[in-house]
Amino acid sequence: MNELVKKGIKVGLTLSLISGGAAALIGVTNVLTAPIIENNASAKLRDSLGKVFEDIADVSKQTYEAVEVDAKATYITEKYIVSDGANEVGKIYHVYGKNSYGSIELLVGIKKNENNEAVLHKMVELSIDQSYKGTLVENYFNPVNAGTRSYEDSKCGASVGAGLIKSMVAECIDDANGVSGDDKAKELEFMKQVFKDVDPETQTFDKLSIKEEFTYIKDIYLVKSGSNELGYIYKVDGEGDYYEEDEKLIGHLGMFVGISDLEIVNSVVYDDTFSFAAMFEGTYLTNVTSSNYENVSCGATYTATLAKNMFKEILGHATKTQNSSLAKVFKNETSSDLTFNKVNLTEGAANKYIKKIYVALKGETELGYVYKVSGTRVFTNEEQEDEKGSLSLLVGINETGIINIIVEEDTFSYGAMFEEGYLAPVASGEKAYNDVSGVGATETSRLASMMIKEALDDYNVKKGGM
Amino acid sequence: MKTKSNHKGSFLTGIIAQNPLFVSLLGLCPALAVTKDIESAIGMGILFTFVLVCSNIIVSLLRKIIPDEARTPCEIVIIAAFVTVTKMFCEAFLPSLYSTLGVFISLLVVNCIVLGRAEAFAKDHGVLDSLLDGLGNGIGYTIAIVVIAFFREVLGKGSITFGKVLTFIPEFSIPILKFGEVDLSMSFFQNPAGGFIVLALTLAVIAAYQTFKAKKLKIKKQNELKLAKGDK
Repeated sequence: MNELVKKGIKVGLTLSLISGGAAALIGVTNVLTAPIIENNASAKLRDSLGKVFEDIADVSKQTYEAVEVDAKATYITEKYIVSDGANEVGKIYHVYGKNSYGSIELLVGIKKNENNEAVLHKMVELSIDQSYKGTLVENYFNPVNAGTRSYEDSKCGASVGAGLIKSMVAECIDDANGVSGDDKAKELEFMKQVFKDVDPETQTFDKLSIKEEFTYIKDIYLVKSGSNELGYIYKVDGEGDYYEEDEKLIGHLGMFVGISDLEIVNSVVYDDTFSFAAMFEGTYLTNVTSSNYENVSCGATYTATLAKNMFKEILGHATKTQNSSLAKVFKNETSSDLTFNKVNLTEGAANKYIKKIYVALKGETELGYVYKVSGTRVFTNEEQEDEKGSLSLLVGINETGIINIIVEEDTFSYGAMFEEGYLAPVASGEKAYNDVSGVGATETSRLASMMIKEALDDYNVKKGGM
Repeated sequence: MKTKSNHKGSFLTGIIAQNPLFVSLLGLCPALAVTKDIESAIGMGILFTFVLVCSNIIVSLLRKIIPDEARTPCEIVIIAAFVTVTKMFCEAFLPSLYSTLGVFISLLVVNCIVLGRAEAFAKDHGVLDSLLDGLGNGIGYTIAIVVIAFFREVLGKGSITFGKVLTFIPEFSIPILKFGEVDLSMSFFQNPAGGFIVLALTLAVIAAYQTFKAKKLKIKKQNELKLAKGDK
């Protein structure tokens, strides 16, 4: 045996022996520590599970039954049915999700309310690893847990993180309500068909909270394509009588109706058990608009009657929502006294920030114009990182100048600083709109000043160079 | 290679004269990552010292068996084994410390001080000297990160808290920069940039002290030389 072979064998043997020794050491340690680590994990989980319903059920009596999770779920990793020994208290979902700012892991407690609907009870943090954790916890997580903020309201200065939690909670509520991942996927496919002229892959659907009681409206979604607001989708569902060979039957109709600026954009039927479905869709739905929905005649009379009631409810809600939002600009007026008519964007103008213009009327009297403006700008956040923030304002203007400014969306940090240091004094006339000094929220104020300038210039053009 | 044993020297060198962090500037990454509070720094220091001592002992014990060609892979296997064992024990018995230190426990495998001491010292020295070298370097590194953590916690949080990470200690807090409603702390020092500044200032103080000491020694030698010339 030559030297080289001997050396090779020696090296091989030494490495094998040392690796074997290391493996044995790790193996023995694993045997010793694995049960302790497992106990720690289950104790931690039990401790956290106990915190979810501790205010409504004795923790010592609580039992947790792990049940199978919907394979299509995006965030839910574990699901437990909680019992207090006699009755079911609620469900706890272990959820995990990621966004560009990090990850979030929570326990979400869902219970049934008096109407037997699944609602959020409480969330318990397992880990929130987000760039804006402080803002997220202070402005969103804690208020939602305290019941002073709806989980659906994610505008909090850490909207991306709050949006993730909102999606997680929505998935848990859907699951508790028996809506499966398959159902949601189908629903999403229908919704993507509503604004059919826009690339479906760019569309996002933000579910809004419904505070009123409706006959037909089940869900409302704000539809966006990137930062552009496309409109709203109303999910409506209802039943009505119809006759088949003199026999009275009950038909069911479910639709997704797209609304933009109070106009019906498109309606997609997801369920129709009435007769003459093709006639209803082909004649009624294809010709329906906000102004003629009560008068379109088609062969499917019974379906159309139900649909008319649905459109009436949708347009009533959309008008009320738009008016109450725009009426905030006129703080001394009563919302119900005002009407808002859409004004076309000025042709040939850049309209970099102006998205929509309305003229506000009180009876016959014109109170002024309301400009819906929005834009984005890079700013340095509290973590000293560059980030793109978006700002959306309603700017009220009349012949005397700025009437009032309302913030619709602000994803920049330092929201309070911006509103107190810039918006309030500009709206009250104490500060010029182009004076961004001494505010603190400099980038937000700069963006706002450019948006306001564009609105003021446009108003002057529209009013003939005032 | 046979070297003369110097137990005291082996132990003390790593603590003061060749402190891995303050003098050799090794292990900077964990020194910034785990020095937000003193408890994490102490915990990291203990784990680091354990891994360093154990790997030094085994490398020293096997120094005559391991062929030169397989030395580095063998040292890495030994270090990785001890890091894994340390991680498991930490997860089992100190779960708070484990979740606080996170990935930095696993990263001890590639810590240049651990591999450096095995390669530069343990492979050529006896078991006792290697143990003392590991202990000295471990203590030296622990002291260094605790000093940085002290300033970062005091300046960044305004108080020092115990019992949150090392849960076997009863929880208590010592306010230093907080006086009732007044809080003089600056959260900037909890950020990596703040960590760099604290480290830089500490290194500057050490460098200034060493320069002062060297000058003093030089003056003393010059005086001695003058005296010697005067005698002649």
